[in-house]
Amino acid sequence: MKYCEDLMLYASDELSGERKAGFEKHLDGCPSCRAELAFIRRTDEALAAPAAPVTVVEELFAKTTRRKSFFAGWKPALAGTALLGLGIFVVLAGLHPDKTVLDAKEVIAYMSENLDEEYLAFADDLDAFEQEF
Amino acid sequence: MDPKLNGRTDDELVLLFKSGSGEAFEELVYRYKNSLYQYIMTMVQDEGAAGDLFQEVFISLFKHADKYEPRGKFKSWLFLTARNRVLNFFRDRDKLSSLDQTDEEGNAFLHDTLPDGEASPLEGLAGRETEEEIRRAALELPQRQREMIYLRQYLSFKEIAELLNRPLGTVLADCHRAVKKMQRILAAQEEAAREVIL
Repeated sequence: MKYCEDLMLYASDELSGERKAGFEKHLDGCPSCRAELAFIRRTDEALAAPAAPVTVVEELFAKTTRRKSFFAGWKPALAGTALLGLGIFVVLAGLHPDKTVLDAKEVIAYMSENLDEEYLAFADDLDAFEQEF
Repeated sequence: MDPKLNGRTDDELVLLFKSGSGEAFEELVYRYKNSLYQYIMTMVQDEGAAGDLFQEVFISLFKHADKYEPRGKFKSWLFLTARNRVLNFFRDRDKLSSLDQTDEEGNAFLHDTLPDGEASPLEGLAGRETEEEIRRAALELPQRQREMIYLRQYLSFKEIAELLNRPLGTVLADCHRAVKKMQRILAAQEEAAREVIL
């Protein structure tokens, strides 16, 4: 029984000191243990781990370290929208250079200037409607 | 990937990962992917399930690394986590009993050794079996013995004893029994092949 244990430990390089020396002495005179040790060595070679499937590892990384956040895919769209808004502002500011800095009164006056006739007519109709009913 | 990570210990990599290094996590995966996948695959014998369980083990690390205490036993922790996942897999499939079954040889086989100097009839095997035949023989072992034979490839016997929560002597005897069983399987296969030729 002791040699069984020592054989397994020796094969795994887990014996040391006097116990290792004692087992090696036993090994010299024991063809059975030598044959078994040789078989264990061949088993170790045969059972060496093959490479894990690449797809499994890549999937793992995609779920962990290389996972994209929910908003990651929206970044280009959000950036594009922001740029478009900025572009429109710049164009409008260019058309109305004196309106780039506006206070509330100026905004109302500016918007009033741009009310078209159709809207003013609609506003008059609405006033008339409210007075009648 | 930072080449310096190769020289780091497992615990150092876990600490680096905890501080935000995804590369440290990936280095740990690269370090153990082959042995861990082989162990899980050997146990469940199902490629799809093995891939899922393999990922679950590392995702668990990814999410709960803060709970890992760096005490130089990362490999044992990893295989213990894998083993628990495998046990859950069998519980789900109602196959738990296959892991706990008693080997058919019983303790008598522990003493199935020959006196010093006497050649074993199994010695005739020596060197003739191919690696493929050895792999097939390992897969024919009862699951408990198969697990032992494969764990031996990645862990020391002391680590295996801790992992399985069994005395070191029991682990050594089980493993020796598994080796003997493999030899008998291979001898039987060789005998059968000889009969076909004759």
